[in-house]
Amino acid sequence: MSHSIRTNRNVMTKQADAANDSDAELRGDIIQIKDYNFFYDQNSQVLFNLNMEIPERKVTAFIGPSGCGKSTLLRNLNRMNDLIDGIRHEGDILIDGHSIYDPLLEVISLRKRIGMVFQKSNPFPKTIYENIVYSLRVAGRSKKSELDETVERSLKAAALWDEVKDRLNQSAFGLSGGQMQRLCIARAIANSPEILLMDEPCSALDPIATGKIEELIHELKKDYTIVIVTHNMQQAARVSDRTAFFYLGKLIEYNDTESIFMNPKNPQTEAYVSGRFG
Amino acid sequence: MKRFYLSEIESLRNHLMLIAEKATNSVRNAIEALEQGDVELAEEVIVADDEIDELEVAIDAEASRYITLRAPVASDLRLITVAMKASHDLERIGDEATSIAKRTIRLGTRNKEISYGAIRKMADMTLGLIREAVDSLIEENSTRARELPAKDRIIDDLHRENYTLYTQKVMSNPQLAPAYIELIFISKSLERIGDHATNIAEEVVYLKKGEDIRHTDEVRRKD
Repeated sequence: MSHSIRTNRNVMTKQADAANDSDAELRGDIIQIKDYNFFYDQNSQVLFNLNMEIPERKVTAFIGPSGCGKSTLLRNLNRMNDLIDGIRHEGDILIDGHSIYDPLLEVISLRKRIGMVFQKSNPFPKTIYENIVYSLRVAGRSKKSELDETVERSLKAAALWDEVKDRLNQSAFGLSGGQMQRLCIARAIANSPEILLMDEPCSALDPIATGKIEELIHELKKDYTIVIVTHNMQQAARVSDRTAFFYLGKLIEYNDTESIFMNPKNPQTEAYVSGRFG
Repeated sequence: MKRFYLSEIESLRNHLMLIAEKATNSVRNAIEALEQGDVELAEEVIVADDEIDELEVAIDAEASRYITLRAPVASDLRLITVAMKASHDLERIGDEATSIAKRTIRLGTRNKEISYGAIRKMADMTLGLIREAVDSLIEENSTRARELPAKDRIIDDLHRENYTLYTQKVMSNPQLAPAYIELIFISKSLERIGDHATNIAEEVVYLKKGEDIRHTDEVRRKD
């Protein structure tokens, strides 16, 4: 079922390319969140009646003060929170029109379609090369030409190839913080996912490394749908097309980034983006 | 590192250059229409003013957006603020050119009984000043820009000369008062264009050097 949808999406993508990227009208909503409530246990509800659509091949930023639920929502998009005991949800999250909670859906196959990058870069204690091909090896793919091609493609897409192509067999731990984070992005896209989730990907990086990641995000959105959680308001303003402001587990305002930062409709959003909050 | 949004500042700069070119054209055409008594050309100036107004609005929107989303600092921020101010000056220059064009239409064909005084010299100097101000903006040449406020003073003096002459003419021949009143306004418009060109020159110095020379001894009249 999901195969046919993917095919349709590819057809749409090709049409869009043919239209020389004037394809805004062809871009659908890849993620739909419907009447969604989320509880860490019976008494602790952290997300309240969320309804939102996230467009494909755009960057959507989640902003809001600590504890507002933005990371929780992000981690629910690929069911990362399933690992926590006692959680439960109401409502639904659909990706390409299919519930991520479909009992027939394997969580692994969901996560293959959704790459994730975390606040702290977390390369495996392996070589740069092996970090990239890890998921392919786990999936039983070992053809060298395919692995080589994946490494080069992923590292190029993550703007890291030129810096590491001569030391692919060295430990990933020898890279700088910014390079490690780009390696993690390369690893996340090695499997050709459709969606990339980024949870404060630049908060541990200096401004130059941050700039490189932001440039990368801008490039990657041509091929991937990106959802980014960030505490850095300027970063949300710079890199995202859509911005969602959360407060106390509720979606307060969700709109084009330009509208959120230039003319927010809700006084709480205004207070938060202008730094007057609290 | 080239940032993806720097193309937006380039686009803003291009729009600034475009409004500068259009405003200069309007002044040139308004002056030519006045000197030749060319009513058709005067009408063209009036029509062209809408484009200048639209560019000013577009530049303001682009600048506000850039400040909000890109958090510019240093020379980027100076360029944004200068673009907003200079485009406002250029829009006012367009309005003054339009005013000259409208009064040219009212004056009709040149009347040999009318004494135009220093208006031709003043028009030439004003056009020269706006050209130099715009060139200094395009080249971001603060040395050239610094020379312009002094030139504007000569235009101010010519306007006073015209004002005195036209007032005398009105008193000596009240029948020609309507024409001389139009000429007083035209002279005033040229003087205002000179002031706006001077503002642009001062903005170029700020853009390039980060130095605000407005209302300082450097630009103030000494006499």
